Amino acid sequence: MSAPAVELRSVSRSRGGRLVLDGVDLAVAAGEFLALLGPSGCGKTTTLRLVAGFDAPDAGAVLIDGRDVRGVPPYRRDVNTVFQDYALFPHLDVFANVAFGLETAAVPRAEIRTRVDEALALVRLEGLERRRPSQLSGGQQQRVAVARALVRRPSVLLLDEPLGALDLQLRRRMQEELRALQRRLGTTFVYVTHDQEEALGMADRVGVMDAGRIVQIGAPRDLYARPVSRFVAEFIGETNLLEGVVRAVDGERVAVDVDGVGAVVAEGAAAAGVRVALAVRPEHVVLADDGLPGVVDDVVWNGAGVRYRVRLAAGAALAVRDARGALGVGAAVHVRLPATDVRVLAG
Amino acid sequence: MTRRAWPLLAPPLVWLGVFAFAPLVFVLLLAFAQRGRPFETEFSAAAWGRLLDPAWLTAFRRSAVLATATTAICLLCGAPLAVFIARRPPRLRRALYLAVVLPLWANSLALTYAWMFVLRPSGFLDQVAQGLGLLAPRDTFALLGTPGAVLVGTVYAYLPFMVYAVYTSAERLDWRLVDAAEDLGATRATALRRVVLPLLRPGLLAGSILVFVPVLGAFVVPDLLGGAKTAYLGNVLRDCFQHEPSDWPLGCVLSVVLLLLVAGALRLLARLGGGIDAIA
Repeated sequence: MSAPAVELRSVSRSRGGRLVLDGVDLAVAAGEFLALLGPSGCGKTTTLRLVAGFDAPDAGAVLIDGRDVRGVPPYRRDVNTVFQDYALFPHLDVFANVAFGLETAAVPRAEIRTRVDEALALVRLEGLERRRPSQLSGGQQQRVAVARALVRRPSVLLLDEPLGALDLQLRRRMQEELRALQRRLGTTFVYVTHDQEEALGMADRVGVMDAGRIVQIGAPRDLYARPVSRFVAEFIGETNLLEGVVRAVDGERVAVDVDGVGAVVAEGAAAAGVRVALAVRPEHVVLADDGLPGVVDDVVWNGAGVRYRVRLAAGAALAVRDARGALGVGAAVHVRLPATDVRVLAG
Repeated sequence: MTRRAWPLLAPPLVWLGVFAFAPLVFVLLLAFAQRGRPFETEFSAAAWGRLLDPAWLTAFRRSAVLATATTAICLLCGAPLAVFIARRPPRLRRALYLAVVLPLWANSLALTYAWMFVLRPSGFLDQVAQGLGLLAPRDTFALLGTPGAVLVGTVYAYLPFMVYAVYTSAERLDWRLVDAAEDLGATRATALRRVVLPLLRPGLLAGSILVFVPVLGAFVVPDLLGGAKTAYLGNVLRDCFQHEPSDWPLGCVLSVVLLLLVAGALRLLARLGGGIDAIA
């Protein structure tokens, strides 16, 4: 197996007495689209800056294509960055912005011409070569930033909240375009975002970061279905968090006495008598003819379906997603929590 | 322009007309007057003939060299300092900036006298150098009265203007652009040349003008630090009006020529700097 395109080995970095990265281990395979997801201040941008070479780890090692890049300046690394808010050169036009990275590499003038044209065609910006960044829309600036970074044909492209400044509709379209671009070029993407929908929708794998650590990494579906912690469960998608005491253990399943709910069977490992947290997605709560009795006390319709809040007779309130949505406030219902969809969380 | 703006504009227009434009017209008229009788109506172009007087040419050359050298030193010292200050955290930045512009609040004449005490024989500089063993006891650098002393004085007096002008540009500069340049393969030097300097250009130009133009006509610093014998353009000009026998027409001719030269230099700079906007 070939070396990972990017590898971090127990990397730590502190700034101003605060631990920004706390022993991060990460391996990104060549050609992979990896998203780093987390709230602001979790260390995801610092991770990117360490790979780009703008910052150096206090401990641990950063490897690019299998080589330790300690002491290698940014301009010698085979990675390029799409910066947050793009950082386009305001005094240069689109062509010169994209050509910049080729001129520094002393690429012959004729080749620069063709490669810039190719890069601009790639992001569908033909005809705007002579515009200044200030004369472009946000989406166009974003494309210039991508073209400028890709024109050097880096083995790894780092993207720092590249779509953060765009409105929702444009962001959706750019997500699709970037994803298609990545598949076509086969370039390794490391994509930093705080938008879970973006990370889940675009990436092959998502690393969830919190307080300088990668708390869970995996395919989007696995993260969604099997969050390891309360943080991941809450950060990715909507979730019902329940707490209770383990009453019995049976292999991979545990029976839990949940506060305000009653007896619930969940998947996961825990010792009997221990207090645990459980997570169940709103769309996995089943409205049925029997089960736990409750009353609908709120209905929110969002076009694709309905989200009820069901107040259980035992006291707890559950979010329940339902495609049909025929119930009104005050309707008496029964809900069931299928054991395969209820997860025991670590912390 | 709307009709309603006129009442508001009247005071500044009258002010400019009476106190800025009219004196210029007088200067231009007096340039064609006769020596010793500046206010008679008889016109003469005689003063223009005296323009080629070697004394005035020497003074002009001396002033041009001084202004150029002062501007160059202020650029080399002031620009990096301005950038350094602009990149400090806000509180330190304000303190440093204040420290640089503080001399502007003090009386410039007093400050120039202070330099006399520093530079004169057995002055502060000589004593420090003797104390450090760089200079033999009772020896002196004899700096006071030399062009070097004048240069020290003008650099000291005008450096804050350069720092101020460049700081204004540097503070607005998005320094992540340097990261972007390095990310795209530019070394520090290339990033400086291709990104930082072009974006600082308005400040560098404005600072150069703020230093070059006043130094070209300066006479206080040359008077006090340069000694009585070395005449600079400003001294020659002043003497035309103040000293007997006075020569107002020549003074006015020199003023007009100086004005045209500065205007020409600014036009050239504006063209180099990509538009007059860069200077204003």
